[in-house]
Amino acid sequence: MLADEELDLPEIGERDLVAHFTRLAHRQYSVDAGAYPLGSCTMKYNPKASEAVAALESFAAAHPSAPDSMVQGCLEVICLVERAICALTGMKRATLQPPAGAAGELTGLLIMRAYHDAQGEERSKVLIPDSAHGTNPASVAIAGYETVVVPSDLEGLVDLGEFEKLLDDQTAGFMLTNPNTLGLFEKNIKTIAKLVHEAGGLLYYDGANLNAVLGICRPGDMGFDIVHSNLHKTFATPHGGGGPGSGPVAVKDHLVEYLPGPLPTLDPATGRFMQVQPAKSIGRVHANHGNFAIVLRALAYMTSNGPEGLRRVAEMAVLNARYLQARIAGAYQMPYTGDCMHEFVASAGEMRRETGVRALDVGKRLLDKGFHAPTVYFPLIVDEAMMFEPTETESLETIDALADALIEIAAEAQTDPDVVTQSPHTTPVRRPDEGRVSNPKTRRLTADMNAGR
Amino acid sequence: MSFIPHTDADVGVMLDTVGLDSTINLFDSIPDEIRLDFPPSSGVPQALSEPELIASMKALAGRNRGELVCFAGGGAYDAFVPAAVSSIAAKPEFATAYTPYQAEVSQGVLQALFEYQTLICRLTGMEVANASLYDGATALVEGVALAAAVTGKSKIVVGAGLNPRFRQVLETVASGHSWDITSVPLEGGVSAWPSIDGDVAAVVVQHPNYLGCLEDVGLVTARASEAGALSVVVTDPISNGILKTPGALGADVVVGEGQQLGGALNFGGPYLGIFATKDAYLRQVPGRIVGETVDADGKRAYALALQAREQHIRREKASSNICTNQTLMAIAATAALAWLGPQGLRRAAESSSLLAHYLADRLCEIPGCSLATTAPFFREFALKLPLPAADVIERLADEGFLAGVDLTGDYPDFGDAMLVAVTENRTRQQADQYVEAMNKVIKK
Ligand SMILES: Cc1ncc(COP(=O)(O)O)c(C=O)c1O
Repeated sequence: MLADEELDLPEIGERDLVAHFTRLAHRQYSVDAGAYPLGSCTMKYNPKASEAVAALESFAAAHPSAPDSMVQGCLEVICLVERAICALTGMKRATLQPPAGAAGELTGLLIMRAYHDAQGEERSKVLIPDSAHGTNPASVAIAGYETVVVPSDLEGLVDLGEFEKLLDDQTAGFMLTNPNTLGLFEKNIKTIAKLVHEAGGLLYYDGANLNAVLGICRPGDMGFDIVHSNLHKTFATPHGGGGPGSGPVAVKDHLVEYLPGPLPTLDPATGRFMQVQPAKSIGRVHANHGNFAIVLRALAYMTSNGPEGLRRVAEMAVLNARYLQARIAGAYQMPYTGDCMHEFVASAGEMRRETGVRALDVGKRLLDKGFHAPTVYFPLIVDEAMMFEPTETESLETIDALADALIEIAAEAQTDPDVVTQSPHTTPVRRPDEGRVSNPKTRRLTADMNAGR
Repeated sequence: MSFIPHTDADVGVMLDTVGLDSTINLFDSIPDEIRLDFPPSSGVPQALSEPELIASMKALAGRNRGELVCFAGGGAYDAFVPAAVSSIAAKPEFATAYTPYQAEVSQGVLQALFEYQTLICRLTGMEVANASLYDGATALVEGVALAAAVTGKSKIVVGAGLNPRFRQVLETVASGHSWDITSVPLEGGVSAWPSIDGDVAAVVVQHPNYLGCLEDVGLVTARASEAGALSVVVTDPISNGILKTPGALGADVVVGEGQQLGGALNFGGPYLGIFATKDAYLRQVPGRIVGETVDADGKRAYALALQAREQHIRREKASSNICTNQTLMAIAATAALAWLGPQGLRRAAESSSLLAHYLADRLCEIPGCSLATTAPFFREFALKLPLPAADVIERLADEGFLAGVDLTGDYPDFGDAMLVAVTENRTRQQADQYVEAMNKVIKK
């Protein structure tokens, strides 16, 4: 059972290790370095005070299986964030176990399934709009449902007529982002909710875009039954180069008994925090309490802002997006005319036909100009989509500089398209060959650690 | 304390540009009936300045018993985190970036993840690894999903030595997949593996198991493969410093909790889901994978590989729904493994295993204490107690120890028992003091 040979791990001193990672860090863009208008991801500034809070030793050293009496502080943190999430979304209770948005989706869908099971109903499908994020259909499939795609209308909103046709007694629920992934508010949301509920389904809110409506309106009041939020987006926890995140799921009264357990809860009789198992719980969705240190940072952020401050966040997020859109509207095609909320989707479709410059190229050229690129090619319903979400933490000067850079790129596309299609020119590497890493003949997915350093 | 930089004058200029009178008009597309006049105040914490915030959070932290010397494990360990590793993981270039979709400005994260995949393959003895999953439990679920997809079967056989919380997460997700999970009971602390039926998709073995015992992984992988099932081995990364790797023992899929590699306890998260498998199953691997390639000038470069498996391309046909993962933890694990090196990892495994055996021997000298298992163990053991475990844990806290994890609920057959873990952070002196404290508590 004992190994006969030593593992093949790097043998380097601490000095070289630190130098290696410092070099890597120099080859990495980040929010701390500058604007990151990556749509749908809410790449706002991550306050340093939240990091200081997360570093507090008595939180960092808390063991997840310690008896409740020894971790009252942690349990209180979870309960405080749960309360705030419920207040901001208009829901009754929430679980903080899901470690990211997609995990929240799966949790919500399993709650949906448990709810229908308890009604003695077997429903087979979940509706999602054609503008939905890829995690939505993937989560639907894992939850054992069939995905049915609802088309958007010319305004970029759920096509109500088509929606009604697709909705039936096999519909377990409808998953919607609001504002949707085009950055537009689904103004018919009350009608949609009514229709879903009349058909016996549940309405699920993908909270990726909650930043737009913080303190302005609440999914609960719109008629949603299940809401996930992303603490790594709306509540400014750092994205970690791709994670960790946190995707709490909040539900209305009629679904509380299905929430994952255990659920940290205040015992009003003793004033102590304890862990409770909801009556018909779907079970655990994480081995512990979720990404606690992310939840803690979110609490620090909420507490820094307070209720008024959070509403101000939504206002400035929307103002920044609206302003950026207005500034570049002359240079880029805007496929939808509705007022955008915290983000908007432009199209490089016409630009491509006229000049050969694609959305991808605009994004790459933006890297040369010192900014991160927008999200490109999502949502799928927009040709050559470029989704911009500036977030509220970028100043007017920064938004102006970003707008100027984008306008310059549009001009370059006309006058010197090669400079755009060949971009970036200033980054450490240029257009890595992505085909090569997927081709079985050429791909290299692991390497000799000590080579080529 | 706000993080919004706009002055009133800025807001004025911007509103003018977009043709609005007031910020409130920004929300005109939202129907009045659902608009709030004021933000919800009850339930949302009131705003604090930075010094007030720190003070209030310190007060909250003070409600934990933060001073206890940790002998608890069960999937979450008081691991030693070198200062260099903390410093690397705290670099804002890594911490405040997102998914490396724009490879040109993400070579740092991409190369770190490529190195992570490489080290995970070496550590587990497998051929391919992904760039991380959420935690050990969800990694297990993904491993089982891979096995079910590859075999087209739905029966899952699980050793009772699997972390009960992993098992619970597996059961939760099984409801969507209609997986049928059966248990293999324990004998002496290890699973008594039966022969495997032909309709089984996955055989799941944790090694060392939840009770610290070493399972017969070679037997499991052989039986699984004879039956046409895939073996899914839940590994402990530190144990691989001295034990044969799961790959060497024939594993088809290796998953595990990587928190011990550079991660703090953090009340259970963020942790690190390790996932590695054979090249043959690459297309079914969940989550992101980074590959080495060349750029337009022929320079070495890194990029996301095989994205056609992922949800943003394949949607409902994707191999998994995961998008945001645990990249920062993977970077910390990479730094931790490189910091340790092969000898360092071996030393951590050996020294904690030795100390765990010393501690177990000394505790078993106490009347009423004995091991609940007979199989060889690594650095964690199930201790039978003459008193209810909850009481022992509560009383040992007064002596300055987090004594272990109560096993009574999950393993009722043991009677009063708890799981005691020793990491490389524990010293002989602490072990002696622990024994002394246990003596005192039990004699009372
Ligand atoms: C609209 C939308 N839904 C869901 C998700 C998935 O969230 P996560 O990456 O946290 O799993 C995203 C993330 O990018 C998103 O933009």
